[in-house]
Formats: sequence, structure tokens, C-alpha cells
Amino acid sequence: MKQLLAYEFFIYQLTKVSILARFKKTRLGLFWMLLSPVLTVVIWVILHNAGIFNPGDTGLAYPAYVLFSTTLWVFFFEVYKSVSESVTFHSKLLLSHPIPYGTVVLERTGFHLFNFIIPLLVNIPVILLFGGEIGITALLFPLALIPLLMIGVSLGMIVAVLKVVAVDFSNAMDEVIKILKYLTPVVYAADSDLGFLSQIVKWNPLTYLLSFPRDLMLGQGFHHLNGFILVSLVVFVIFILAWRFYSISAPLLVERLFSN
Amino acid sequence: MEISKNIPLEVKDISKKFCRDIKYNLLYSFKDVLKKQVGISLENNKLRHKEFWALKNINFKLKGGEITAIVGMNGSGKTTLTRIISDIFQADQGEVVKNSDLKITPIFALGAGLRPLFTGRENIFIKGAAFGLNKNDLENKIEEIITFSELGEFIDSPVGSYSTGMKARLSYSIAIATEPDILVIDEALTVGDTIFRAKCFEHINNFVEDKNKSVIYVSNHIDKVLRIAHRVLVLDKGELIKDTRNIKEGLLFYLNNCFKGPSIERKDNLLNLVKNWTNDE
Repeated sequence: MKQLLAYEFFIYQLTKVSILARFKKTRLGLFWMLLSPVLTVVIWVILHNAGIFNPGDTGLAYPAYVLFSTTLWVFFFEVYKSVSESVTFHSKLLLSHPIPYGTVVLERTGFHLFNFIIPLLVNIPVILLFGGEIGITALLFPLALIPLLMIGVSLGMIVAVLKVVAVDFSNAMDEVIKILKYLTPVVYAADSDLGFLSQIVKWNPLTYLLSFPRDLMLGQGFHHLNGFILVSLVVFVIFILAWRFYSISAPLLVERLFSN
Repeated sequence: MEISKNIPLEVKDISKKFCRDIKYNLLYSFKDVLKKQVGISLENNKLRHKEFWALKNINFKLKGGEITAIVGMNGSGKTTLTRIISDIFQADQGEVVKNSDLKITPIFALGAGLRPLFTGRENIFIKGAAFGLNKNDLENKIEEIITFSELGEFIDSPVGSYSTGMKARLSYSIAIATEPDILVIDEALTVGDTIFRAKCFEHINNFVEDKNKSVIYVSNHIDKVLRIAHRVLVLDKGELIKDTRNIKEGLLFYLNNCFKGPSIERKDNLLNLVKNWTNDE
């Protein structure tokens, strides 16, 4: 940790470079960042109007609900993806400079957090437009998002290692997470009746990590507070273990598998 | 162990093994990752099937005020050794003894750490930070770096538009701004233009006039080693087979015992070059 602090400026520089590089290559940089969330709204409005889904009581106009939930899901999924590339993306750098391996994880996380700002901002007018409210509890939203970020980073660090040495595991993890999306209340409300799937949704830790900050943002109170706190504590432990796993394993693999 | 001022670093019985077969490499790496997680120590003292010693029982003391050249054919372990010394790789056995505040700056492949989309000036902050310099350090040194690089107005052009030689200028100038105790140059000065290379060699020579500073220079370019080295280490298949301050003797030994050139003439030419070398060249 102390070592990482000494590289604070490096982490800042590396993150800045990744962000700026994204805009240097394209004239429409900002447009692409806006396109995806806006398209998501359009698609869900169409699907909803066609009556394909009965999403349960979402407490908010459905398109806004889906957009916001999807944004949170993408937040989780993208941080996972982004961190899982830490080692492969930066292998050359790691092979030519004696930098702590934690730096590249923090860079990937920082890069991701920046990318998240725009989709998040798109959400606010959409929520208001569809008659939603952003309550005072929204102030707690960033804090409540931390466990979701931490689980994404943790899974990312584990896969960053597995990607190098056991590609099948990391592919499997990608698929599992994609399936999890449908077992997490993203496109339907947390208490929808889904038959036997309801039990899975209830035991899925992501349900709490995602629903709790969402409810805070939309001023829907502190639902599932106990579940959220419990899951957050577990996530914290997972994070420590994943960090340890990554710090021990990543250098070993870079030496053996990237050095030529 | 105490390290004296004049011996900034000691390489003590270093060994490192690798696996050439990709399938076994993945398997062993996977096993070793699991073992390390649960705290089982790795059996680093013996080889498994398909493994080989990239370095085997390497011992030497680096001396201050000297340029130590490491020569060896491709795959002899030169870069593995410099990476271990630079704290990028972990040795399987043995240790690098040094004071904790010893600053080692390695220069490997020159493009590494440079971002093509960004200007030279911006890259000074990027690569400088990778060497552990902070914002203040870099702001104080930026003029010095630009001056040494002699890049002039190109410093504000994207590095992607640079020639190899220009990248070399930039990288080298950033690296020396870290004010290291030990400068490790791994094949990095083999590219680039002659004028700048001469400037670098002059710089290295001045650098080691300070008896506390030391340079490790990895190269297969016989004439350059002849020109600047004070000591030659010959690596062959992971073993240190010669360690001498008689540069001519060391290089002749290398050429006669390890060198496999593209042709006999090439080898003869090099042998003659070494034999006829006089220090005022």
C-alpha cells in the first residue's frame, strides 16, 4: 500500500492518458459515450410499449427505471471488464519498469469511473422527464455504489490473472456474469414474482448491491438495508482476498508468459 | 549484510528457471499460482519436465565507478538478469543484495512506456512517472530533459511521428533525469543516430566518474563494449562463464566460446577488431 502511494502521480498520469487517448482518436468522442445509454432507452421504450414485459411495480416510468438500472449494471460489468485487462493491457509497461502491480488496477478503475460519469449524467434528465424524482437520499448514492464497484474490481483482478493462465475460466466467468444480469433486478423490479427464479434473485448478492443505490437515487427509501450491509461486508472481505490473489499471482505470470 | 559504498549491489547466487513449452508453462504457472495462494513454497531448486535454467548460480559484485558490460548470445539470460537486478523479476533462488534506497533505473526497449498519440513533452510526464518521479520533480527537470534530448521543436509533436532515433533520445533523457545510482541499459543504445549515441556514451563515462555510481550495459555490439566497458561479464546458457576487467580478453573469450554468427567471416572480423583494438580509438 505504501509502495502504491509513492506511485500516486504515475497512477494519475496513466489514467489521464487512457482517458485522453480515447478522445484523441475520434472526433465524435463524446457522442459515442452518449449513444449507448440513449439507444438503451429507445430500445426499452419500444419493447415496453409492445407489451413484451411485465416488469412489476418499478415505482417509476419503466424506460427511466430500465435505463438507470442498466447504467448501474453496465457500471459493474465494465469495471469488471476493465480491471480484468490490467495485466494484459499493461504487460509491456510492467516488463520494463519496476512499478507495483496495484497501479494498473487503480488506473483501469479510474479510467472506468471517468467513463461512467457521462452515462450517469444522461440518466438524470431522463428520470426527471419520465416523472421520477431525485430525492435527498441521492446524496448517499455515490457511497452506496462503492460495494458494487469493489465487487467489480475484485472479480476483475481474479480474472486478470486467470485470463493469462486459464483462458477457459475467464471466458466462463464472463458468461456467468452475463447470465447474472437476468437474475438481478435490472429490467424488472426487485420484488417481481418470477416463480422459482425469485429465490435465485433473492439470494443473488448483486440484487442488493444494485437495488440499494438505485432506490437511494430514486428517493425510494432504504429497502433491503440489512441485505445490503451484509453483502457489503462480504464484498469487503472478497476484495481483500482478491487483492492478495492478484498481488501474489500477477507478477509470477507476467514473468513467465509475457517476457518474450 | 552491509553493502559498502563502493559495492552498491551484489548479485548472490541468483538462479531463475523458465519453461519453453507453452502447455507445460501454463500448467506449471497455474499450479504455482495456486501453491503460492495457500502458502506452499515452490520447489525452485529443481527443474520440472521441459524447464531450463535461464540463469544458474550467478554471482558478482557490482563496483562503483565502473561500466560493466554483459555480453552473451540471444537466450543467454542477459535480459532476465537485468530484470532481476532492476526489481522487475523475482529470482527463484539467491538474492540481489543492496541498500533499500538504492535507485536503479532500467532502460529496456526504447519505445516502452511512450504513448504515440501524445507529444514528447506529455510523454516526459508519462514515462517519468513510470520511473517513480512526481510532478514537482518533472516540472523542475523538464527543461533539462528537453535540452539533453536535443529534440528542439519536435518535443511538441506526437511521439508517433518520431523516428526510432528520436524515441531513443527522449527515453534516454527521461531515464537519466531520475538521477539513478545504477543505470541499467539493456540493448537500448543499439538504435538511433550515431551523434546521439556518442553523446550517451560520453554521458555514461561522466556518470561513472562518481565512484558511487555504476552502469550495467547489455549489448552484443563488440565495438561499443570495447569502447566503453571497464569490465565484461560473459553469459552463456544462463551461466556466468567469464568475469574480467581485461576487456579484450573477455571479448575474445566470448567470441571463441559462445559466438555463433551468421558466417565465419563475421566472427573473424570481430576477432580481428578486438585483437587490433587500442584504447585511443
